[in-house]
Amino acid sequence: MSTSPIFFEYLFSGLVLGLLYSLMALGISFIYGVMKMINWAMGEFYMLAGYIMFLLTTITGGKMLFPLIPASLAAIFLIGFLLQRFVLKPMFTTLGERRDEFVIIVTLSISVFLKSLMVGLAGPYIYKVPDYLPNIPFDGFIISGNRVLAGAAALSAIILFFLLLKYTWVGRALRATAQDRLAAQSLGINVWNIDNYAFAIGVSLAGVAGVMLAPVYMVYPESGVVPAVKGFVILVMGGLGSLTGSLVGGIILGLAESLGTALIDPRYREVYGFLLMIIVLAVKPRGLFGRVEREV
Amino acid sequence: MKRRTVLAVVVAVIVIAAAAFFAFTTLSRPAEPIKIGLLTPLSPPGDPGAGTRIRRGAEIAVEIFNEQGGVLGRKIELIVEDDAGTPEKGVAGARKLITSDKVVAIGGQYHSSVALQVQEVCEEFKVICMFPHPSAAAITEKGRTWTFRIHVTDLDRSDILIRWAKEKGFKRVAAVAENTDFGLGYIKNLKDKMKEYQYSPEFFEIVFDRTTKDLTPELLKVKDFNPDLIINIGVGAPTFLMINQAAEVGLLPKVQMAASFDWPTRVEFWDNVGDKGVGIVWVGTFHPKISLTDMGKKFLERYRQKYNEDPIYPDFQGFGHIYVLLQAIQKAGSDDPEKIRQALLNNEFDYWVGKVRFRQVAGPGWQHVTVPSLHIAQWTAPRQKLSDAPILYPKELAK
Repeated sequence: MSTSPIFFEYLFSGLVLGLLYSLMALGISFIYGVMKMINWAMGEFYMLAGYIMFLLTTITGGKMLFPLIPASLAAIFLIGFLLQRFVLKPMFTTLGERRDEFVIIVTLSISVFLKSLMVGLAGPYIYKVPDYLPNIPFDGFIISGNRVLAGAAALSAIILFFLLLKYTWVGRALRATAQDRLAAQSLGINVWNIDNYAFAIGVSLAGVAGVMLAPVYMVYPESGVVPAVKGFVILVMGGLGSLTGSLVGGIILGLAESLGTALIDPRYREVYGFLLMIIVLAVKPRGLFGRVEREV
Repeated sequence: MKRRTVLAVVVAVIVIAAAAFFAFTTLSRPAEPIKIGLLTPLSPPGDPGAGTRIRRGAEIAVEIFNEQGGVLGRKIELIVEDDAGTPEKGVAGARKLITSDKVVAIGGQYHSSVALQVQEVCEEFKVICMFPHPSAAAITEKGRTWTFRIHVTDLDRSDILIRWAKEKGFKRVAAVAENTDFGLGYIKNLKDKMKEYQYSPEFFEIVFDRTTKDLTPELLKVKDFNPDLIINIGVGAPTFLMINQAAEVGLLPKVQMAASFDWPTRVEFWDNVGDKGVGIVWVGTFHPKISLTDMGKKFLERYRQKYNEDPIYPDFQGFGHIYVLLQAIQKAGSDDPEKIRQALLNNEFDYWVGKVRFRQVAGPGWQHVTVPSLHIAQWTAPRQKLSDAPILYPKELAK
């Protein structure tokens, strides 16, 4: 750590990573908040988004990258919407008390299915989406254009997500359902439709991370495993069901990994996050922002 | 009397029917195929690109033998198992191949960390493990009875890399390695070879988790060290990540990067790194300028027909090691593992490059054959053909 520009590169790298971790955690937390279920296949939606982006860039010859980003996200939204409608919804409407066990099995099955599907369709190979932006020299150090864009997109997605929750009718209905499903239902909200939106929006948040990071981290069948694990770490650290906790927890984890590597020892990078989680849980067992009555 | 006759006839009919059934089910049954296991990484976190190529080569070896009537009048059956590059799946796969599929030998290993565990299963069940690609010196250094290897060790690669670096006069060398037997062993070998050749540059080592998706923090540490040579000691996705992210933090193309083995020669290399791959050097074991044996030429022709591309080292190795195993079974005149082992120790075998003979010498050379023609080559243009990539070292091959 002899030069300060390198310290800022660590800081920047950690912040961008943190924002993207936050997206994963927000998605998991949001789905949990509304539907009261953990989506164990979250990492596979991250992976699938990267594959869809790669497929679209290949078809178009990589000439128009930016319009393909919303197109890939729309595809993920649609896949999430359909999966919820035809695979998850029947469990909510027919299984009653045994629902939780079935949800775990079904989302784990979706995870295995999607990974196997991609191995079958695209082979076990590693693919890379073309760079979105070139590197940017800035005040004595170099910033990755891809990461700048990924960070900006992550931030925009998070802001849009919170605006949607606060100012739209669907957002209000989502929050109401998260607070009390029965009360929301008795007030005339169709909670089954709301579940549909919640699942599709939640997996789309993972999709944003998957699409924006495809040129940086590349795409392969197991590429969603690590981001999903980080998402769950943040979920516990930030407080189950707390969106603020997911946002703050993600940034803390990203910075801890990056700065821990720089200031302590790079060999233990994966340890810092778990260590942080243990410390947080020891001090605040419900996580940083966890509450007894959770709300979206 | 009449009753006794009827009884005798019934007994005779039963005996004749049983004999006929026995003869039909055993004597007329075609000979059982000889089963060979291929345990190789076909899914992440292993390196499925390499595993797929080893499989392709092995399948062609079996095809060629089966077209000639098989071995000992029996067909060869290749049973493929995915080890996903993890020791636990490797051990489970080896046990399944030996106990359930009843293979007489296991080939196809790629990751050293997996091979180090799989060889113990072979030792336990007294079945041959023939390795075509794991390079940790410890695999053969252990002196196991049932382990054979045709490849190069990391010591051989470190040796040529350090000789080349010394000749080029690099003064600040950074080694970025994955946290496996392969990565950690490679760093140790580099240090040993530096001592041996009295080459003492400033040396910086950094280890990363092989499942990581972001090497930026590690590469920023490397950048802070200000190296003139980076040795990329990864396997699979991290190798490409390191090139892309080294360019992102401004290390490439200013600093020379050397690959610890020949992964830059894979077809997916250019798709994954683009122009950032120009200038990368690697420790190679195959180059089109190297002359092939008749068996090697036959394989090359068959591979081109089948896959419409040229094979590279893992393809050749996948082919070669199974071909040697099948020659050994033929020479042993039996599929008994002990007899095959004796045949492997007492004969010379055709290989895709030259001939190979196993020797029991203490150290990494125990039942190990080093593939000749190790070299250092470099990409000098984007999407260059391997035949156009210059060999930089050693000088005799560079000519």
